[in-house]
Amino acid sequence: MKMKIFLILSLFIAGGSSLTCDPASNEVKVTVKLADPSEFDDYDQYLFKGLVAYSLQKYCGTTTCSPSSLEETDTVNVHISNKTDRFAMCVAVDDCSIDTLTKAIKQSKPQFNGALELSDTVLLVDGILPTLKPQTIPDFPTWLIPFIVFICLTVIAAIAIIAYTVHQTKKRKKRMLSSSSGDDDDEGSDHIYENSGAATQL
Amino acid sequence: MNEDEERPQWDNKAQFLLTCIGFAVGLGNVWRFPYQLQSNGGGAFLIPYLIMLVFEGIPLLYVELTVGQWLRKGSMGAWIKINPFLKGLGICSLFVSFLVGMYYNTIIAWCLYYLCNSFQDPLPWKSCPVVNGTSYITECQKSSSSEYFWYRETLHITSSIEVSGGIQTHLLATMILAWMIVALCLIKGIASSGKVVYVTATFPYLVLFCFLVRGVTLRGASTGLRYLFNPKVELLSDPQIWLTASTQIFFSLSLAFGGMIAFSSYNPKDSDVEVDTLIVCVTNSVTSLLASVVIFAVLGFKATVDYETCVEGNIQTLLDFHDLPEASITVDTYDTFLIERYGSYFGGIAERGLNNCSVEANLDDGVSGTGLAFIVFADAILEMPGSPIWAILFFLMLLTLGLDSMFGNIEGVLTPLNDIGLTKKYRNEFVVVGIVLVSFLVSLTFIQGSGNYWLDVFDKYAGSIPLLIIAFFELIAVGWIYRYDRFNNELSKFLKPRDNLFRKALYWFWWATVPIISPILLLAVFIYYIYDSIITPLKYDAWQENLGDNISLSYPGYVIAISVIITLICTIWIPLGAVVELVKRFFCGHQTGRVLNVGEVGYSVKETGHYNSGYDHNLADLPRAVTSGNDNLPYDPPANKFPYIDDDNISKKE
Repeated sequence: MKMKIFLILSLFIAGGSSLTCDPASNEVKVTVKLADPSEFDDYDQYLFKGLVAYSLQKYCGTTTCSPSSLEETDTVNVHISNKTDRFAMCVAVDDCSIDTLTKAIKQSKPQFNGALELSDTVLLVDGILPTLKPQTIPDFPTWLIPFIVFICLTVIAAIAIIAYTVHQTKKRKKRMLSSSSGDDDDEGSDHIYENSGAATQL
Repeated sequence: MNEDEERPQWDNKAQFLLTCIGFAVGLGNVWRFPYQLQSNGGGAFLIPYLIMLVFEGIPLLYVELTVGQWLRKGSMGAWIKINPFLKGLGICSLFVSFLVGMYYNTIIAWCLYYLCNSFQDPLPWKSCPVVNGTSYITECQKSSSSEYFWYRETLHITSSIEVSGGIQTHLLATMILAWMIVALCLIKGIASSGKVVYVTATFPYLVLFCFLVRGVTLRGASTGLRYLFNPKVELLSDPQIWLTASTQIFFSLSLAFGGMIAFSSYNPKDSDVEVDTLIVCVTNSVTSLLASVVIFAVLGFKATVDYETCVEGNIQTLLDFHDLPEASITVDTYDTFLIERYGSYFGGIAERGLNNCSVEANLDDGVSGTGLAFIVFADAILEMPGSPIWAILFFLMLLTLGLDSMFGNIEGVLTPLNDIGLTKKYRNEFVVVGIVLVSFLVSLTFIQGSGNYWLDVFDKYAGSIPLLIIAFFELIAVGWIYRYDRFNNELSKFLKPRDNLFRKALYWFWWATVPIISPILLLAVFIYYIYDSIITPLKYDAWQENLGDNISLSYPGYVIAISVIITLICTIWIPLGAVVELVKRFFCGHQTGRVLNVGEVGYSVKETGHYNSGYDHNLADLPRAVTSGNDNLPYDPPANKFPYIDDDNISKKE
């Protein structure tokens, strides 16, 4: 309680600066970015307290915490203070250091987000960096699929051109065989530039 | 055998025009011109640009198209015929086309890679990869997700040109595909590429139109357009702007590659070359303008979005500080809030340490070149609804823009080689495949880690100064060495008769520009370019992984040596060719006098006093020696029966 009065006094002195929670009293700043601060009412705060207790029980149940009494944390042990319009608040738990509290909340952050129907960008806890969605690395690189399609189309086009050329050559040969005097000029020779300019001019 | 019958021909006029337009309209129209327009005075830049188009671009293109159409040869054969001392000019064009084609296809490979990556939602350059669940990769965080995707995941760029980085397999795959597509399109020469250009030359316009409609309906588009066209008329007094305009129009029209000469050599002799020139030039400039509108509409949108993101970041800081609920300050009320609380906008920014957000500042970060397409524009597409579709359209457009420019480059190699007979032993298909194979092997340089740096070296030293030199000599060759009056006489045999005002005006226009105005302008551009190259330190921007940004490094000695070699390869042939011809003349005497060209009649000037300039001349009636145009005459004409008009007589003509 003494700590609380001290905090309020310090706030007065600081003037119009943003909310800072007192680390000496193991307080962690929690921000909930809402357009209407009244949305996070007393019931939601009670739910929040329950979630903090849940997270501490879970964390201290799996890893040992310094005061072992933290395993039995309940909502009465969680204290919320200094609520501002932002919406921001200071959260403290009896006998719990900031470090333990932060770690516990971090472990159960998805449950926090889900229960309160918020997200990592809305519910911010001081000291916890928002978990970023990792890129899903597909087994098969996605870009290869259209690439293979293009390659296949190109190969098919190449085969078509070769087949057409072969077909044309056969047709021409057949015609040249059937006609008595093979007129070279007619269908065009194999080389488009027959009898082109001399190489001597170089 | 009359060579005219064997030479391939365009199926119709549209193929020829679309091929030339496709060759002229390239990536530079999309990613170089908008930047030049905006940074050189906005709307006011259009004045020097249009003036240079009229006095430099159109005459140069006219010279190339007429030379090709008249002489029915690619660049090598054509310039040899104009004057044997100019045999080197064609070789220079050939090498330039070859070298540029090699690195140009790398850009197509990049476009293909981005295209293949566009078939997914969300697009891969939208977000940074995550490390440790809570933070992004440093390089990506310091730069941006688009820059990271370009520099790291696509290029896998190394920290300097000296570090090779190895060949990137994914780029190797797209490079192979790119060369395969080019080879397939050119496999039958213009018979195949002429069909492909129906698509590749027209598709970009379709996409530009879609982007135009989409772009101008985006928020912030008008800001971008206003920024682009805002005329700064006072800049026009700066000669630099005029030189920039002439440089831009010169490189925009794909001149001096020999590609235009090659394309028009497949034209029928009586094709209206003057109107063709005007069509190609005007279309090229209109496309540049259209692309600028599209690019800057989208850039204005992007700048606005970036501004809003910046302001929202500031708003969060303010809300945190004042403990106000979310959404109590919006982007619209941001300014008034600052003024209310802190007395002034900048006072508020200073006191709270906010970022100074400004749309103009975002637009000022002008980018051109690959950065514009693969970073800035790709980033902008992310913000558009339906981004994968727009990404696919955009990169397909870049692909088609680059492809038909590649056709011009390869034709600039193919046609001269065929014309001088080097490749007549081989099937044309094998020649194409051979050229593509060799180009592919050399272009492997550009897909290693340091490939982008090498590409810039090639672009600077093969793709710029040699072109200016070649173009200058082309003008001098036609205007002064062959003499413009003779040139005009030859042309009047197959050009449209000058019986209306339009034709007469053009006649005098060509007279004024081709021999006089254009060479002077080109010389000025050339001197400015040399001066600019000398005073610019030999440095390049190298991307650093740890910084997420570029730093300026100097080129090492061997790179400078290679760039000198590249410039020499592309230009040394002009003097060398002249020297070789001189030596030949000196040792072989008068018998190597110039052979008559197609259409030239074997009358001595001394006999008749003038050339036969009737264009109703039936070429088939003339003796074969003068109509074959074939330098390999079937017999040696006796010297006294057909007096050769050799170069020694030029000065004696009236």
